[in-house]
Amino acid sequence: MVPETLILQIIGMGAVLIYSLLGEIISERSGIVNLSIEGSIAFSAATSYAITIAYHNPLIGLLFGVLSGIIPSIFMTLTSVYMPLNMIVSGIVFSSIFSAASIVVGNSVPRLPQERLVFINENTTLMIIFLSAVSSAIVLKLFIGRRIGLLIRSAGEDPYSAYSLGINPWRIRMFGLIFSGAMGGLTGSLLTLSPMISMIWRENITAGTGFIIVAVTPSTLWDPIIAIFIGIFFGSIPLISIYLQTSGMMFSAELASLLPYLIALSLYIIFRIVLAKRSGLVPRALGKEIVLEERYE
Amino acid sequence: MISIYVRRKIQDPGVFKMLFLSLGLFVSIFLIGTMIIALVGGLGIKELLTDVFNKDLLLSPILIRYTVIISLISLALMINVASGFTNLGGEGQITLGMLGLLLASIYLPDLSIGLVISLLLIFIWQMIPYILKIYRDVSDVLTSFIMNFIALFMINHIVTYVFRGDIARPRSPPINEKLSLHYVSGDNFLSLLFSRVSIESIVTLLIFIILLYIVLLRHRIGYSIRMIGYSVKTASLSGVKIPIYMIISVMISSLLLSIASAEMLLGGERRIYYNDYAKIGMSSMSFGLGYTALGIALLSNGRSYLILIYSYLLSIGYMIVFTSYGYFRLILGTAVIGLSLLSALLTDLLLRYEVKISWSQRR
Repeated sequence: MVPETLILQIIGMGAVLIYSLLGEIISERSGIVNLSIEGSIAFSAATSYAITIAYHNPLIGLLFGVLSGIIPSIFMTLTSVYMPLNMIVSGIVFSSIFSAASIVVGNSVPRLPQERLVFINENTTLMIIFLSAVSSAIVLKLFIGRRIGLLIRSAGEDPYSAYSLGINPWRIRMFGLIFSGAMGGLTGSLLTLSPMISMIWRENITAGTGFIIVAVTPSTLWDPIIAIFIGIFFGSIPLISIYLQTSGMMFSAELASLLPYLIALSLYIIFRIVLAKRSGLVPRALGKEIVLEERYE
Repeated sequence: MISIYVRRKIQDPGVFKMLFLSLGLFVSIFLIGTMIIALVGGLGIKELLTDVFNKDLLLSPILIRYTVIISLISLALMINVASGFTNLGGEGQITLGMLGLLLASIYLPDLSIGLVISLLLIFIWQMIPYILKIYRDVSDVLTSFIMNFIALFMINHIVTYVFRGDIARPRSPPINEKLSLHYVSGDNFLSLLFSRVSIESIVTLLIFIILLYIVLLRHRIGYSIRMIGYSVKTASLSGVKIPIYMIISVMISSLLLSIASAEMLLGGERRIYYNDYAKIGMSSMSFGLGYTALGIALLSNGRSYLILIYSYLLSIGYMIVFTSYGYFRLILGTAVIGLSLLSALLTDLLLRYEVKISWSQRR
């Protein structure tokens, strides 16, 4: 019999992952692989924790968390959108720098359990967070078929053709990155503020969540609705392994920690190989920088 | 409105321009970044400079040891980069190399066998992302990067359950004394400089700096390897036997990484430690060198002799990290990785592109 607490925790953790998956989907639809999302999550987790401790208000913490998640994306915009630098290496750079910054911010306040984001009670709060994540996915799904969605896809499919039609692909990619950073910020804030997920901020609270998100995004087929199921699946893996350990099953914690990475990598490779044969699913300019020679003149 | 214009340069940059620009950027970004973090973290600049830039430290055996280790890893990653494989998996590969030495220590205690096992493990681990990239267009960066975590958690499992050498804490048993490197001894000038780094590592480094310079820049093998790096399709149409050159480049890279891992393990505490949360950076067995060395490999642009200069500068950065303590060391260690890669990226931008930033009234 699976306890109710475990189900609620899976729902809570799934919701947290869905937000960043949605951000990464929009960013990748516009052609940018945003690896700095790990930095966004780490930095916003520390910021929201520090602000909540300082002001005793989790809502202000959440707001500042979302805003601080955008900062790594702004740097990514400079290097990978407006300058043709390798976006994967840029992502690692800003992930490292902002992970370091998160340790500075997180240690600037006393290490205390901060107030949680609670509406009515903990269970209801988790359900509200989950339902808002699901509704965000549905809204995004609807938007992808509309004009704004087509604009985003044009920057990810063929930015040069989009430019010749009068669309500014740089601005669209900037929007995609900032949206992704904000969603990463929301994920990081919820990691520390959401009830029943983690009791206190600590170094390495993200445990590579951002990198897993980037790896599993192709398995969503860049579809927000599929992202809901993928988010719940990856949210459940560590929680189920902890549950199995505590219920007395002989289970290596190290192998359990390895599992999300292994599954994410396998899914990424399989989907990449399968999708390569099916045109139209993978954004064609994904990971490619835009350099227009004539813009110089 | 601020406008940024970028145009590709047609010609390759000259050696001196490359050297001065990259050195300038490397030193300035590194120092400015570290000082900002030092100030924010509460460490005085004067204290930092006195600790780091003193005569004894700048020629100390420990600094030279790190220079040699970083150079070996950077050379390994440089040949990967030249062949079109951006290998972000150096961290995991170094720890796998250590695992190879541990296996040899337990079953067949002999240094050469240990090096062969670690070479094979690294070779297999490197070939997976490279083959996927060449034949299936799967991102080598992402694959090799995630494989780091898999390798680190796997090593954690091994030192906890399979080869646990200590009941009190998870770590491997000490490496057998038969697996030992040779060090300069005696009371002479050489031992003052090289007492902390093995003769095997120094000799390998010198041989491969010369060899890779000749092979990569002046030999048909190097042209073929670099052609695969530029375009697999062009290389294939030009008659380059891709699998052979893939194996050559990965084999050289694996050999260098296995020597580096032997130096780190056998010249250090001779045990593989448990890595909490499989953290990459100062707390890992390889100190985040897999990433920083990739920065150097990108900066050197195929010129192996430049690696020595960059590695020496980066080792000074690591000394800054070592002079710090507690969580502050973790902050600096993580930032050092980011800053070294950032300087590599910006150098690449300024060398290969013309960048103009202007202010215009109209759109």
